[in-house]
Amino acid sequence: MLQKKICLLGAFSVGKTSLIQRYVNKLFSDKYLTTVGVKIDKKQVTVGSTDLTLIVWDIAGEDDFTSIRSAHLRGLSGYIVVIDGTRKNSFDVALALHKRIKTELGDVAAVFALNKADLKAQWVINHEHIHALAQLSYPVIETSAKLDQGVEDLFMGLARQLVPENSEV
Amino acid sequence: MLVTEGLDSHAAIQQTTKQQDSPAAQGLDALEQLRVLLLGADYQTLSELRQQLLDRERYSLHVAEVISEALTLRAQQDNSLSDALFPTIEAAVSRSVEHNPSRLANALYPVMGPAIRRSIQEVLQQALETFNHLLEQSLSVRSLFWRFDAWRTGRSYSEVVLLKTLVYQVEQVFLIHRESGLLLQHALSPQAISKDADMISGMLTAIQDFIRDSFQVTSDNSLKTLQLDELTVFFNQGPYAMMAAVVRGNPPAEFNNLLTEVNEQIHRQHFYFLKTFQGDTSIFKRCLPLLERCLKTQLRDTKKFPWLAVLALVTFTGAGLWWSYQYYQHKLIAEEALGALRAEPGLVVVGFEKTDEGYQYEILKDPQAREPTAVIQALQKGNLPLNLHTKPYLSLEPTFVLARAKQILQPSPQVNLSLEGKTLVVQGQATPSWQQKLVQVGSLITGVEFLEQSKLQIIDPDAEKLTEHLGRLVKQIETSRFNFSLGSSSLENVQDHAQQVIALIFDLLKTARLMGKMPQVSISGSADETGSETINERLAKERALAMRDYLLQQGVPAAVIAVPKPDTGRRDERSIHYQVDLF
Repeated sequence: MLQKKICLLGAFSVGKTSLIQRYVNKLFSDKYLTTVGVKIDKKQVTVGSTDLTLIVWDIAGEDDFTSIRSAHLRGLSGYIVVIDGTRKNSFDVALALHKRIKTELGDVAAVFALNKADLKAQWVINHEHIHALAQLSYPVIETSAKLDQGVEDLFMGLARQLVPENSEV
Repeated sequence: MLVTEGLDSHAAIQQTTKQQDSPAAQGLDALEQLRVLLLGADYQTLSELRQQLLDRERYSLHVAEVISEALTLRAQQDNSLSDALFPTIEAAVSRSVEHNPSRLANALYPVMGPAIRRSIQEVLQQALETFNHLLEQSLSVRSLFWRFDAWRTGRSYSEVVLLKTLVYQVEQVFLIHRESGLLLQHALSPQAISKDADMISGMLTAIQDFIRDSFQVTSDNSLKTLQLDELTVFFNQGPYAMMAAVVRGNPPAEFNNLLTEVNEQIHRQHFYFLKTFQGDTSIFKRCLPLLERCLKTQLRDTKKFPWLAVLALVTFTGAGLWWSYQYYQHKLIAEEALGALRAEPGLVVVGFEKTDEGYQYEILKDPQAREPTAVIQALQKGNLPLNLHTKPYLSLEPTFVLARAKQILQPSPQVNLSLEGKTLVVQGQATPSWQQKLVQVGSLITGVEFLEQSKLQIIDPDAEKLTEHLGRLVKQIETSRFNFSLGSSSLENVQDHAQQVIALIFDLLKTARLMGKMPQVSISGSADETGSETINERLAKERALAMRDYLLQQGVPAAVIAVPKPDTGRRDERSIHYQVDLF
């Protein structure tokens, strides 16, 4: 049995928790987690012939006043950076986080999620931004936790990167 | 170090030798000379060492000399030798068992026997203690208080019992990868309930990180315990893995040492896997026994002698023994009674069985035999249910045939009855009436087929008296007269006479019969001489007939009264008279 720690990162209220809720539909002590700033969920997936358990760390969002505790990032195998399509700031935060992790942990599996696809009319993130993300050579997936759009693809996109290639075939 | 140097120089020499072969033979000699010049006598030694290393046999001999010392030295330094040898020894033992199981079994036999016995003893002891524990919990006054306590505080009864009886119990032990917070292995005590261990493992790590980040402690320091009411989480940090033990109650100080010890052992055995951990937890299954070592429980008063259980067991055993003893005793008595009934003459036991209502005897009983209840009376003690079901039968045993004959014939003391085969022999003196009875019923008695009465003397003590009485009666009858009026044959005032005569006739009839005789009473009449002879003759006849008719009318049997005889010649009498004849 293979286990991997993955983290969901991003600015405040980009919908990290909602994405996990949608994906896992399971809660672990809500009240306590809010205080500590992290919530942990678990989801079992199968990639190719490999059974994989994802331990999903939902880390409190980052803004000008709080920064993500690097301790929480230790030992992660992959991460999802969530961007709120309606807020430009969340895009900047995402890039900054990505850069920070690259510096701290080196190359690890990652996926970018452009969340709130249900509010696409209000999006401020345009093609140029998306193109800039794609340049980082990590998958970029449009998601909506509300409509359950792209959520499965998002997590599977990360899970595929976590399984050694030889066992995937 | 010496060996390593030797190896290095050997490699160097070999390299140079190869170089010599390839370019030119000229350089070789020069180089060789240079070596001899430079190294002098050492060169010879080095060559020998090189030979020693290259020659497998010689090298083995050399190592064989020091190998035990080397192993001893290393074992004194640390535990790495046992960790290193452990897989090899395990594989060797496994192969040995596959190859020839009996050899290892024989070697282990002296150890296994006592170990198995001790293990059984411990299991029994544990069972007794558990039983006692249960009894205490359900019976004791203390348990009632606990139930009240549970009701009062709104907790479950088992929770209260656990709190009151436990010193401590280690409910769960987590082995957590320190960096990623992933769960490597998890042990759970049978009584405990656990939520998702993977997520708890992550959270425990997150809490650790949170504390460390929030309070600016150095990375060496970390959370040691986490306490909530009677629940404590003990953390033990290793270089790559952390152990977390969830404990209810207050464990002793040694418990932390145990955690450290186990964590160290895990690190020693799985150092490589911990260091290179990439999410594959399957290898850590081997750590489960080590983690389970930490699942300790200590109850209060564990050393107390299990009085209740022993008492209950003794009571049950005592009751069982008493019941068995009673059952056995009853069985003995029942069988003794059966023997007595079988031995008793005239009784035949045709059925004997034990039912829920007791012991049942089906018995055939000759009327002459002793009552079965009397036979077993001496044995019938207390409330032992010996039920007798009797049915009558006739025994053909000589004793019973004779007894039956005596009962039926009722012989006088002068008569002696005996049985010879199927013949009833009758001796002595008896009355005719008894003899008559003997003849009538003697051969009808079951078991008697013939009668032998040649030695029976018949004596009738009543015969003389009867004859006398008969004579008297005859005389009385013959002297009876009834007088008629002149020239009349009508019976006037005949009642008194008739009554007297009839009584006499009946007595006569009875007495004569007793003597085997048949009486006949003839009535004849007579007349006085006043009339003509013809008239007188007719009158005499009419008078006799009148009396005869009257007597018949009064119930005297016709057979007894005879036709009137002709006049007997009596004259001068206006009467009738009787004459008795016996045949």
